[in-house]
Amino acid sequence: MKTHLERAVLTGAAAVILAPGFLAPAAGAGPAVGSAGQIGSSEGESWPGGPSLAAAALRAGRYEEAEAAYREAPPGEGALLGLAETLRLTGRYREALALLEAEGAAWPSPALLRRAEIHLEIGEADEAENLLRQQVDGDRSPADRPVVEAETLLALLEVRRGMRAAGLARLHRVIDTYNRSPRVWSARELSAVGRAAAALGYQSPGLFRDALRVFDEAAALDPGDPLPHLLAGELLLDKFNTAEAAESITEVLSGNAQHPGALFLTARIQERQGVPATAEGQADGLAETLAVNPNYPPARALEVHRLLEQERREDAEKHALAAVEALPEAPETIAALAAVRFLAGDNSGLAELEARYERSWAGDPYLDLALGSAAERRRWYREAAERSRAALRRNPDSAAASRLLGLNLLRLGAVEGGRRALEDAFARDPFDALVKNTLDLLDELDGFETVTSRPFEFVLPAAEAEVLRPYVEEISREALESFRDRYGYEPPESLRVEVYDRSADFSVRTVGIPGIGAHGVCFGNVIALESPSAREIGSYHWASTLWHELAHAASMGLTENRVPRWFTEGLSLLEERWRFGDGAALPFYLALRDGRLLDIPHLNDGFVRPTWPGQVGVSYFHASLVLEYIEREFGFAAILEMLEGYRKGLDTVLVIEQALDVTPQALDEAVDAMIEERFGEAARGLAASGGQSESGAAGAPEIAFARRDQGMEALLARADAAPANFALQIQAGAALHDAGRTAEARRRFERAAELAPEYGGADGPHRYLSLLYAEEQEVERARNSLHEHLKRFPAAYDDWVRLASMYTESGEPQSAGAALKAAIEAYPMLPEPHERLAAAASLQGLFDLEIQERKAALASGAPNRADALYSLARAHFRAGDLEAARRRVLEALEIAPTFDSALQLLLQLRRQG
Amino acid sequence: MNGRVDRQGPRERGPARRHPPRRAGQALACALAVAAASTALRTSAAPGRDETPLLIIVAGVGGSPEHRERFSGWARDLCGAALATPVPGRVRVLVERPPEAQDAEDPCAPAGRSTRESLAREIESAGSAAGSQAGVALVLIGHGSGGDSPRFQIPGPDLAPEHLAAMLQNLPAGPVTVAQLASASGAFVPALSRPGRVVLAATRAHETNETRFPRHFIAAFAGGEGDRNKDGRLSVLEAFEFARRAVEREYEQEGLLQSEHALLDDNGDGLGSLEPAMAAGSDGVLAGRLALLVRSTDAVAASAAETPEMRRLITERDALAARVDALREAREGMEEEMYLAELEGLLLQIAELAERIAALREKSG
Repeated sequence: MKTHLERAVLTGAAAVILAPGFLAPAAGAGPAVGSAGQIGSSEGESWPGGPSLAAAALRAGRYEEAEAAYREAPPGEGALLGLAETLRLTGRYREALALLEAEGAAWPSPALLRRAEIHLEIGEADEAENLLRQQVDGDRSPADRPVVEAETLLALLEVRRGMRAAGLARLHRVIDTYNRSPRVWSARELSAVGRAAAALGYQSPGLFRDALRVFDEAAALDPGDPLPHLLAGELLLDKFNTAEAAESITEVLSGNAQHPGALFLTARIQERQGVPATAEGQADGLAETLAVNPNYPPARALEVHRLLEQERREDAEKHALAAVEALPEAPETIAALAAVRFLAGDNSGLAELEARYERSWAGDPYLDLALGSAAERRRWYREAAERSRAALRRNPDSAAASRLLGLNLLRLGAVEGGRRALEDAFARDPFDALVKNTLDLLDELDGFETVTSRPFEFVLPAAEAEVLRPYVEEISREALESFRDRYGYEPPESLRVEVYDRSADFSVRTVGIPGIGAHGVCFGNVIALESPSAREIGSYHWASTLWHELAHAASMGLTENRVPRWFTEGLSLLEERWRFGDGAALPFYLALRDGRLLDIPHLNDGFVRPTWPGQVGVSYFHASLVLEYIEREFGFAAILEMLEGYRKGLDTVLVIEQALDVTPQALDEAVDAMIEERFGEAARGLAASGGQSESGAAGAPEIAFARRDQGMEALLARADAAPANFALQIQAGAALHDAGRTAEARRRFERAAELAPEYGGADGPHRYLSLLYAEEQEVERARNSLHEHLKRFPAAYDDWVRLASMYTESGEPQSAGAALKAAIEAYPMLPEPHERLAAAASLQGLFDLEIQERKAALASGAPNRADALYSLARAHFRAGDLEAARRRVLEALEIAPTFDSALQLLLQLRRQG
Repeated sequence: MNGRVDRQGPRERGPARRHPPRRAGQALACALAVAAASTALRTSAAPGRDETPLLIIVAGVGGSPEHRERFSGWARDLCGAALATPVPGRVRVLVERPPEAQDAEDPCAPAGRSTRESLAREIESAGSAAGSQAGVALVLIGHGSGGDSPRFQIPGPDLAPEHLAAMLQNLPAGPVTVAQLASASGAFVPALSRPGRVVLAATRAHETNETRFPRHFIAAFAGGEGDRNKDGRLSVLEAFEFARRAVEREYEQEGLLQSEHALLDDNGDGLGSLEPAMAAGSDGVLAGRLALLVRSTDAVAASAAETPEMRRLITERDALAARVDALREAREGMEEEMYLAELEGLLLQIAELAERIAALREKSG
């Protein structure tokens, strides 16, 4: 049954959004498509191999075979169109145009339409418009002309060129024609109707669904035609519905694994998912696209944007210039070069490109969106917001522009403005999952508690605010003071710290969709991090994460957000290590063993374009070692000078040369030597067992937990055979410990600690040693070992509490207090350390601290609430705050009206008050 | 913020948490009616040893030395905690394998094997205690099995809900508490439920994993934290709540899905509640009234007091405490300041009475 489309209502000021999402092919051109289903099948044509073989080769992506077959064919419409399509799909646009021009006179309508499509694909707007108008306004009967296809393409083009009203009217006409016509429509016509519906969806969102339905109808009508699948895939991808988009693309690739349009959409999905370009089992969609069609404009543009993201500015410029030379009119290539100029601060170069773009694409916000996205990826959120506004000026109904504006305003801390922009985006496109998720999150944020303490603004989950606030504030202030001292960093008027108690919310705040793997993120003046309650105890150290993100705020602030990712991450981790400690994880040793550490000029790639799982984590530690070396050898002033170099827009090579007066290669060699000295032997020792079996799953940091499936004797034999393998020594030690063979276990752990003194994991050898020493009543050694363990793995909440108990037992309350504070920095959501710290503070007469801890104990679920309230009332009483004491004791007695101690306090208060 | 948008677009994550709407302020009259009912809900007063129930502790089959040791250890801990109070009740302990040599002076020494016959005998001989105000409390520690024929595993034939129900049927009228702490123990609730009886299960009927609840239930006896209202008595409800919350917290801390959910039934409907409360009509009223142990001599009821003056003061104090309970129930319909003023007034009266009670005790030595 025919789908009846909703009739969109036009309003005077309305304009449709026809620009696709970032890096999508410019709308109107559409993905590189082919109508192979109709090509070479005209009756009466015959040539060696026959039409069906040529068409089959084209459909299957055997382009050389298809070209040869078509070229041998006698003249005919099918052969002409088939050959032209083959040439187009392989990027030989000029040849295709020349062929159609020279030989298309006998079949003017289809030839003209194909020519128009090719001109559109390479951005030749004038030529495309002329040809399409000939089609639409020609003097032959509509039955002879592919009017619907031409009309749709012309309408889309008109809108993009700034003739919005005419274009919109034409799109409506297409839909009206479809709705009124009783005839059977071809697959290509249906695809055109679907495209019109999708374009008008921004005015009448129901049309988005209609568009998908019509694409499905087209696909059913001609199962071999990739066009409807590609259009559906692109539409779904624009809505962040990656899973369904992938299904549509798979439909195409299963028939033609060489289809450049489908390969490019795969590349877009990979970009969105952050899939390592050369991850095992994953072909790089972009490389595959360019291998088939080296001139495909959106692919050329994506290549440039990738290089920009890797901060390979020179390479990006070279590729962009080449792309513009090959495809001088394509909006994608113009925008790619414009992004290079924009990020380099080349305003005149940018202006020239903007003018060129404006001449052809005055109504298309694509350029502004591309620049805004490039800015966003560089963390230039202000510039991204400005470009979004420019896009909206070009097309006030652009949902993509409103989305970009809204997200970047949120990153700048302008929550209300961000919300308004996102609401605008949602009104135009309610199917955009990213916008929907973010708005839902903002609704949830309304229930959060905001505490302002200049320059900070803390946004905390209401249920956790009482526990978190003092610690979040204390760590923030301490970090700020430290960064003021070390960097001369002055914070902006407002630094917003948002804490999320649900990982999914944090993820939506960060990337718009659930599933991000990080714990914290810094947008410059806005920091978002997970609450300790969002993760398991011992797996996440919230305070060091906050410290880390605040260090980003400093380095980004000092460089006006121009610091590259590797440097800011390395510096933040270094700061974090100074303050909280941290050890090297097993994947770092394995990467070192396997020679997988990147050289410094390419270290950024390890963050922005990882090529193997776990590379990002390894790159963090590696970068922090580079910074550690620089500080140690060149002094901290050198780091400040490097930051200044980045602020001026220099790249890493120049920054190193100017600030350190060494070549990057020399620095690299020196850092390598340091790494070799500290970690080399331990890393090589791992080779003794071969492979990555020590880590269990690749990249897993824990060693001992992976040994359970091994028999004891086999394990010991392996460990004996590889005495330099610290991982095996730990595994053997843990097994021996479990079996109660403590003396043997102790020797294994002592050996492991010697082999890899900087190893940091939940199962570090020092932890086991502390247990063994404690069992043997060697208190001092047990305590020292626990300290050593916690220096390398500060997230171990239970171990901090254990350390505090050791100090309490030995009558050292101050050290016990320090350990309890560290436990709280690892996990503050349990009452025990608060209660113990409060008791210690009470003994020392530190009433403010006692009150803080009593409140936290209460808020973190003290087992007996009446007791906890009474203790808090006592603390207030001792601190002289009688009114607070009265309130709290009443609360205690409200639960427990015959609670003697509380009753006595109440009387005491009454008699004093 | 105002103007929450009802968005119908796609989502990639689950629906937002929705909190039930807060109850609107209720009419004071209604609230006072509830409060009046709750006046009767404070822990009951009973003289001397009758303040605490006869406690029968049954440790079932361990199945392994480790579990046998654990179950009998828990039984001993529970017995020790119950006896380490100023007003100890009587305790009888049955275990899988009583030690051959026992200290005759040890009040927690097992009285026999935890077979069906031994248990029946213990229940039968509990007759007189059962008729007292404090009644009998039976605690079952061990493994349970679910399915069509749920069982508590003991030496010899296992104990089915209907067996236990039959044994309990012979007890004279009086409060009875059954705490079935094994896995799948929820299956015992329907069979044992009846008016005047508290049935507590560590898990729902289909939850068959080893339970954590018993450890925390016993901890409630041993420590003071379970006595939520600080009245010196640990009620069945307080012990249940303490253990329930501790289990919840433990699973949460360990990042595990909670595989056990304790139930309490005391209104005789056979349907255990996950969150019983001392609100009229719901499960929890009787459990809130029954003390499992008395932790302080101060908490001894008025009727047990030494002198008429002391009895009068304690009665007056308990009546005021009941008024606090009533006031708390009525809070939603009251102005905050008025509520606090009334509360403080009552509490000051209680405080003064408490002071006089303490002085009188001191004087009487």
